[in-house]
Amino acid sequence: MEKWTHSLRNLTPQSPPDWILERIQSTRNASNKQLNRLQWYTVMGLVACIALQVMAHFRNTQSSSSYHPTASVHLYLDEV
Amino acid sequence: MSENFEELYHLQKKRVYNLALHYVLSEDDAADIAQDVFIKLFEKTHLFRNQSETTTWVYRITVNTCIDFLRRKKRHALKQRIFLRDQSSIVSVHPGLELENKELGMKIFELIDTLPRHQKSCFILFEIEQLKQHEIAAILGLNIKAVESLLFRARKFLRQHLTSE
Repeated sequence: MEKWTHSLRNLTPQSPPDWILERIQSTRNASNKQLNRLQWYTVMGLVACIALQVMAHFRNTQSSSSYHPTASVHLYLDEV
Repeated sequence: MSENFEELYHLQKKRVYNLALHYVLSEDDAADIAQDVFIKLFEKTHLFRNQSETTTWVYRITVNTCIDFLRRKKRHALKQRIFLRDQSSIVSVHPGLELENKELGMKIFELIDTLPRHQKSCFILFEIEQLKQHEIAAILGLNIKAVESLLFRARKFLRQHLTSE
């Protein structure tokens, strides 16, 4: 075996510092919180959209009833 | 955090950290790389079916993370040299080198650092991690012939430079 191969194959394995796992856990928790917040905002957005749709629907039905096509016929008949 | 992930972490932490050390020769940088690797692995834990597949993935993700890290570091060093006119260079020593091999080891790692990306990966995985050629081929997404050729060129380069001095 060449000398340089020997020196490479006999490296002493090193132990990683303990803080790695803690940091991974805190990074994961932070990203989970962010994800939860994002999910919460999405749900709130959807609820707001549905509420707006419902409000728009009721407004349309109310306004269309005041301009009901038969209203003018009734008025006409009254005049006659 | 799931139990599966913690188990994976404890099984693979030494492998990831030491492989990163072979690439970057700095304990702080290797720890940062290990952290990145495990965050990437955490997102993919559900994809692993068996132990050998997991090990290949671990190696692949570590190699790619190290290469990205070194690319960013080189870019940063170049910027420093251009804008701050900082000509100082830090000599890194692998902490795992035995005392009697320290000088030769430092020279070898200096030369390994100058190898092209694939040659460097093949050399580290074969000579230091002592993996088989077919395993290296699977990790790097190459065929065995390509691995053989890359190893041959890397060894030739190192032999030339080490014997010329």
